[in-house]
Amino acid sequence: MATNELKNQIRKLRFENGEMTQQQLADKVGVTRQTILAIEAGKYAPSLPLAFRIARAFAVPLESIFQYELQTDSDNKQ
Amino acid sequence: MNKTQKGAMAVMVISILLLVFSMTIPLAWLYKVPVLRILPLVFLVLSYIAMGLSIIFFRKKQSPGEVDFDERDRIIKRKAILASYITLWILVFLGCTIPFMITDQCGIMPVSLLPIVLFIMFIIVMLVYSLTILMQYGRGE
Repeated sequence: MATNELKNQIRKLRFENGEMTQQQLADKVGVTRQTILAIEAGKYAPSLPLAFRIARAFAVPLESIFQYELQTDSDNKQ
Repeated sequence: MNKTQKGAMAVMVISILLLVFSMTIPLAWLYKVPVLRILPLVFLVLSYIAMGLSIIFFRKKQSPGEVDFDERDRIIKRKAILASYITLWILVFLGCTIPFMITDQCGIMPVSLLPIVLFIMFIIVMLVYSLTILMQYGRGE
């Protein structure tokens, strides 16, 4: 069975941007800290507007933050 | 903890106290022991205290610029409403069938039990609502 996986570089980008805290990023993009935490852990897929707001907060294109990977069973076995 | 979590936590504590309160009322009626007669009042007072404390608990923010709720909170709340709605239907079904099974077709039940049963139903629905919210945050959904 194929599974969707949305990987992100938020944690890395936060540290590259002056060790920004999760709370600071949350305030910047207008969400709660728990949402940033869930997105970073890959447990919550943000909406498109929120993904764009996060990209804008780091001044980078969307693709450099979020990567979508489609994994199949054969990929998992390897 | 964000506002939705705090709200759910407050609702959970108040619901548990009110549930115990409503369950101790029949006990106070059935047994004429003075301690049991005070018990409902104790839990009612405790639930009022919890309501008061939850207001103070709500005021504290994680940061000055923190938003009250976001898109994820909205999804979590929607799932919790669905869970509590399903629970309500299950409770209505049980509330109709259990007294019928206990008292039989021509059985008699005190009318005063009806508001207590409805109150307990309402409290259980609120408890399920708050627990569903807390569980979703716990799982990091």
